[in-house]
Amino acid sequence: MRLDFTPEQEAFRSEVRGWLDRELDGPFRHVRGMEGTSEGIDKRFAWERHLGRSGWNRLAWPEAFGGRAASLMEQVIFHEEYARSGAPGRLSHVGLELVAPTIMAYGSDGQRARFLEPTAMVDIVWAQLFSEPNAGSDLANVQTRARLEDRPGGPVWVLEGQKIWSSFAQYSQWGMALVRTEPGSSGAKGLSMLLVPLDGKGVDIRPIRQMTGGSSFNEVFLDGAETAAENVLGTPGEGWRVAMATLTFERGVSTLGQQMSFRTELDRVIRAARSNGAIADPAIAKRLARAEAELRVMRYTALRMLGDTGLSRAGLTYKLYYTSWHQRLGELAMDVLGPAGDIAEPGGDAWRLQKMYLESRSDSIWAGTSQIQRNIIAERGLGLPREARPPRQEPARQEPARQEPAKQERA
Amino acid sequence: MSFAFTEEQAMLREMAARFVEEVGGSQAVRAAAASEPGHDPAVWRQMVELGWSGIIVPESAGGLGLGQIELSILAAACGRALLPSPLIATMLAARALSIAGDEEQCARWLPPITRGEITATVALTHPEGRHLPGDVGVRLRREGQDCVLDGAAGFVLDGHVADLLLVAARDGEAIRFVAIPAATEGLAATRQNSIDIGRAVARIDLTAVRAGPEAVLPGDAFEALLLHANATLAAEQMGAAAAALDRTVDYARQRIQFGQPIGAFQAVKHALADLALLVEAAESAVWYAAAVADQRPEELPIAAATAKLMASDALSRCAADMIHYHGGIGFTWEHDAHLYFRRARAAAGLFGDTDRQLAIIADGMTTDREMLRAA
Repeated sequence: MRLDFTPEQEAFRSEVRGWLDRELDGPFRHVRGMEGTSEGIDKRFAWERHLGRSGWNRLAWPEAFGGRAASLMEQVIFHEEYARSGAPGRLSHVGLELVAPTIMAYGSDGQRARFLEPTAMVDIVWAQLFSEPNAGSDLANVQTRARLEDRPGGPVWVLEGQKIWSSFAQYSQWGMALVRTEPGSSGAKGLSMLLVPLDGKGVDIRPIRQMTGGSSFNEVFLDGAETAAENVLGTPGEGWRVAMATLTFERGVSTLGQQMSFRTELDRVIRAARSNGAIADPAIAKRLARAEAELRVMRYTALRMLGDTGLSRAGLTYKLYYTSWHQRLGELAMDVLGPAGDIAEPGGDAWRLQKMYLESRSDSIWAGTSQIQRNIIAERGLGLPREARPPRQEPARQEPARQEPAKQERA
Repeated sequence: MSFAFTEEQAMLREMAARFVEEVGGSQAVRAAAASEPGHDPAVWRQMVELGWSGIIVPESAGGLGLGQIELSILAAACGRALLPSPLIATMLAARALSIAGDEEQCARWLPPITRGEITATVALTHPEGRHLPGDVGVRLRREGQDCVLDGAAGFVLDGHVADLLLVAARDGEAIRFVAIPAATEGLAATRQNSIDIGRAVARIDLTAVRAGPEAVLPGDAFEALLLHANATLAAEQMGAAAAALDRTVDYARQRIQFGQPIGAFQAVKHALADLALLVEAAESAVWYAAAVADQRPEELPIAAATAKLMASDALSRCAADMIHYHGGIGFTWEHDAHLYFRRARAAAGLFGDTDRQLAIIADGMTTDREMLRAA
């Protein structure tokens, strides 16, 4: 157990910090601090393409695919420095962190050659098309269907159905869609993972207005949408396995970057408590201290996870821990602000805290609800038996390889 | 930077777990705790042979020269079975000597401690259980070369059997530790009737206890020792919490009601998942605090307070739920659940309760923003 960084890691940190500061003080100073789902979209995509050209957006990728094959600690350092620099929230992470690793793992050479480079350069932005109105926590209950049809240019998959909760689909050119390709199948069987262009006919993308007023999620209606027969990831019928692999990519070092934004939020709450005197209330001071302690614990847990091979029990608990922390921070923020927090004008700290309060209610729903998380912890972490479930109508579903079905769409 | 145990630390963990498994059965633990010394001297002798009594003692004084991480490993292992021994008390005394003692004092006391010839403890708590520096209940006054101690301390770990007591005493503005052998005239130690029947604590009364100048540790160790005490105690609490959870999970796997193990019901499994969260949080905080104690002492106040806070939370909830999810059997004297529940209550208050830890964190919160990055 060592707490210090090596000289090489410190050198890497200065390299990252130097580059970020140079760019964000210079040509990209207008994107600094941008966050959320609608703020400065064009400028932020320009920034993300710049990250792509400079190679910083795919540190973890193997060198064979144009990455830097960075160590875990280097990735941690990058995420920390990125958050510290005030660089904007990312819009292209579905492609870079979820779709690309899946293509690396399951794609053909042709798919890798066709998609990885433009994904890295943010010329293709991806949407994840997994969840459906009736396939949320029960993700395998996919009803969107695809069938092969002949066309003059060769066979194509034709898709019919509806996907929902797709992050940033309104800005995406391609989607990775979990669809049912074996008629009559049910559950995890008979599914395939298709790569589908979203700018063609038969695709209708409608942003969902969320309770915060913003729109990061979308409904995607597929009504005769087409993609070439070759655009299946893995083999037809193997979709569930591919989807499970994708979901495991979501856990990773980016959690360290997320913690830095939690840090920013907690600091904002502490600042508010100091400026309006709420910190003098011992009950508030204690809640702040607890939030501080728990945020530190999150960091230690994340570092423990990085040292682990495989998904440890600590790793399994992580999402539920930060979810409840974040929701409690939202409540604490509003208690610190008092009635003034209810009438905050846009732009200021109080307004940002109010937004966080509202936004945090989604945490316990997406990427596996808190109830699904507790099932995962209890069954995989503690070895408790599964609850008896009524059988599906059709053939029994397969056990997922590593994880419960869980909706994982969220940038 | 790495959060993984070294090979040696991993081996120590395994060895400690095996040892505690061998000697820490329920009957043995109960009998030892209820006995006059509050522990089994034969088990303590084995710990001495394993080198545990010198785990943090410098090699120059015959010890293993290891750090807080290793001591926390041992404390966590003992905590699992609530195995009573003078280990923590004696190592806290060794720590006080190392921090505040001069060369002569260290040379006099550390080797016999390491060899297991004597056990030791620290008396730093007000008889009513408070731990702020202003609460120290023993006063030191000078009479010529000598000093004379009057007052009392409570909650002294193994204080009724320790051969050597390091007594925190107010010396004007300062607090000094004074090394007092148990046989000294004017010193009385009485085991207290603690809710935690698994750990012996004693009240120490000092009436005109006279000591030479060589008994007074010159350094300032009171605050630092409290931090080390909490880092160590948190490891023990974490081990106990993990065991309470494991035993409850085992029971939930075996106990059949309505045709299936109760652990299959989400009403039960979700509650146990919530306990796993607390145990993992405590574990993260405990190992971090231990590493900080060895490598970055300037961060120890917040790290130790966080570890104590998390470990107290984890053990309190795990022990209470251990009773509950065992149903009626969990409420019996024969079942061990109440031993964990009793430990949870007493340990949370020892060396500063949760409110005190939150106050320490609140103090630190407002100062160093760079800490998180540096971690």
